[in-house]
Amino acid sequence: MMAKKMKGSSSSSSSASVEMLKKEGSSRASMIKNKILRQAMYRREKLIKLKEKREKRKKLAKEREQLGENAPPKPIPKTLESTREPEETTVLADDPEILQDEKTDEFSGYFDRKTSPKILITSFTRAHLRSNLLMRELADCIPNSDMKWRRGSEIKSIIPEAIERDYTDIIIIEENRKIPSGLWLIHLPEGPTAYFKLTNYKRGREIKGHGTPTSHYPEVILNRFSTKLGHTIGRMFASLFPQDPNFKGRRAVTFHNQRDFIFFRHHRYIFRDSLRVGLQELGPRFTLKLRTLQKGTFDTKFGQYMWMHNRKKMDTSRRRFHL
Amino acid sequence: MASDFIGDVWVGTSLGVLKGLSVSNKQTLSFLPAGFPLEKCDRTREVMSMSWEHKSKERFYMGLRNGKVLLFDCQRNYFAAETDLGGGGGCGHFVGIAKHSHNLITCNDKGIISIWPDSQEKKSEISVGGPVDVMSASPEVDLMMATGGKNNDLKLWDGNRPDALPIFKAKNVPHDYLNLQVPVWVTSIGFVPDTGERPCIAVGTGYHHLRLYDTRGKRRPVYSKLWEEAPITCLDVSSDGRYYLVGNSHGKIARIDIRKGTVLNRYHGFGGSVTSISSWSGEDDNVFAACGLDRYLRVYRTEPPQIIHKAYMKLICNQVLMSGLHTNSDKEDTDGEEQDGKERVRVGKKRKRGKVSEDADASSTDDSENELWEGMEQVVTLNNKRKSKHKIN
Repeated sequence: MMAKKMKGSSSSSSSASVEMLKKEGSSRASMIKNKILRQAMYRREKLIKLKEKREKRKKLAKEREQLGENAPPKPIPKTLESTREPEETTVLADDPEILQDEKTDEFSGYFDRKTSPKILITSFTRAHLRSNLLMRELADCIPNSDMKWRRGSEIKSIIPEAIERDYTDIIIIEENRKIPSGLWLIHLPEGPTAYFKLTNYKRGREIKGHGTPTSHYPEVILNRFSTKLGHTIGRMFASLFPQDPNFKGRRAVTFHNQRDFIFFRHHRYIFRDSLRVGLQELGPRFTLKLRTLQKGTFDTKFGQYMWMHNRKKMDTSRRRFHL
Repeated sequence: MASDFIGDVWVGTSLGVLKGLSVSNKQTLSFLPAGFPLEKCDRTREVMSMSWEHKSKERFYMGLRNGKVLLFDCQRNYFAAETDLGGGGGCGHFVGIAKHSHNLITCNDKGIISIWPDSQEKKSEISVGGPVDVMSASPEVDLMMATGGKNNDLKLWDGNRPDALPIFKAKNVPHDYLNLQVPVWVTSIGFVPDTGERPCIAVGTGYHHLRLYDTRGKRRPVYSKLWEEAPITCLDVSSDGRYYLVGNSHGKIARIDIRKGTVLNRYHGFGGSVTSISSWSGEDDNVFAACGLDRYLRVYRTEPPQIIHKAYMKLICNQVLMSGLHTNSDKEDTDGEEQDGKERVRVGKKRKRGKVSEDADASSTDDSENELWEGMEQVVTLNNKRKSKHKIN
């Protein structure tokens, strides 16, 4: 009974209050004590605002069209990346010392075409379903790669054997609560070793409209690895894949760095016509974040760290990025 | 440009490029031997070891991975000499280099100490017994070297007696609480100054121990303390012998009291392993330079702990030497723009002093009184020293 009464009373007063608010503007919306009415009010206001915005945008576009070439340049939106703190270690294309350093570093053999990549993919001991799937998918994605069961062998004993068998890199998937949580990338024979946090793993089948990968050599796209550290990581990723992609296969593997998160994507593209390109994702899909970079091969205890992520000391600004 | 450059800090890098840094000008310059362009540099010319030729800090030696030794003159900023002491590689890389009167001492990672007189004919060799990670020469006693490495504890050698046994051989610390042997891995050695023929030696280990050996006494260390949880990579004893600076592979640096082995200060900023530390003491200023695998060189004031300067070196830094902290006025006696924090402090002090004396002039212009004021000034500095003494103790 009471509820009915209240409902009745509110409906009778509602029309009056809405009228009042229409006149007085939005500032009074928060004064309405009836939640349903208040929300309705907000919704309406939001719609009006959106409409105004749309009209403003249209007006601007029209003006721009009328001005033609004389139109002022479009303002660049302020994002965390565009307002990024200037990084001293950003690699310039013509820096002779950096160029010489990269010419003689551990990956120079790959870039000089003296070695061709051969990858060993394994996991931490007792890997579960998701990690096994990721291993398999990576093995499908990376040419010349072998997936091996770990069988409890130590990483430090795997490394010399892998070097003996001419492997150039080892990928190790780490898991936590049966979900892949980390990725070790060990470059052989002299390092370096990178450790990434791995999140948001999605297997190919879970992606809508996915395809199946072919055995063509993919193209590798490395986006926004700008600092010296980023360059090293980028070179590490590049040296996982053979140099000459089979363009016929139209496969592309992307490592896209955005705010220090590295997004791994695997696509097949198709030229629909001279303008449009279609993309079909093949999977897997995951995100990496660099935790440590070590000189030499895997040695967590006595290794020399070239870079260690220290959240307390390094993440003091949202606009500072390391890669 | 390079001719009137006065370097404060010298850094040996992974490509064999020498970098000189002027702290007051915030300027970094690269140096290479004449007729040796950057295009020829590679990892075989990695700087493994660096040391001063003499205490005057005018020239220093650089040992490269391929067995070559370069002599650099920091007064005139050029490479004075280059000699090949490695015999074309294959003989291991340098873990230590030093100059004692007219003898050049080198040590390779396979544990062979070689002593080269000026004629460059190999005079004598000492086999240390097994691979070593570090060789350090005494700053005072001629031909006295200390070596250490993995499973090769600290040994002290006399170069005048090449066939003899070491003059001091450390004994490992007692077994741990599980009655297990404590593993040995000496990674850094520092001689305590003014300890003469039977020196005190500070040692850092790969198992993160800090140890102090008194060779006059027992063969076991005076103390053995654990510091942090990562291997100690470098160590440098201060010129007054009251403390030493240590760095580890996680980028941590601390100032350690030499007598107790306790941490006095910590210095922050490194993103990667610290590879080398070099300290310098001025009249009223103690500073040190440290470099690391994160390609940065950092210059700190020891007390209060404060970073003075940070410079990106572009290449991986292996070794650092600090020759001093020159101000702009050292180069030209004009009061230029002084941006450095340290200089500001100095200027401030001068001004204070000036003010005080002016006041004195205003009240009574008496020479004796002025002298009195000057006397008071000295008392102030003494007080400071006392304060710091208390802190160290």
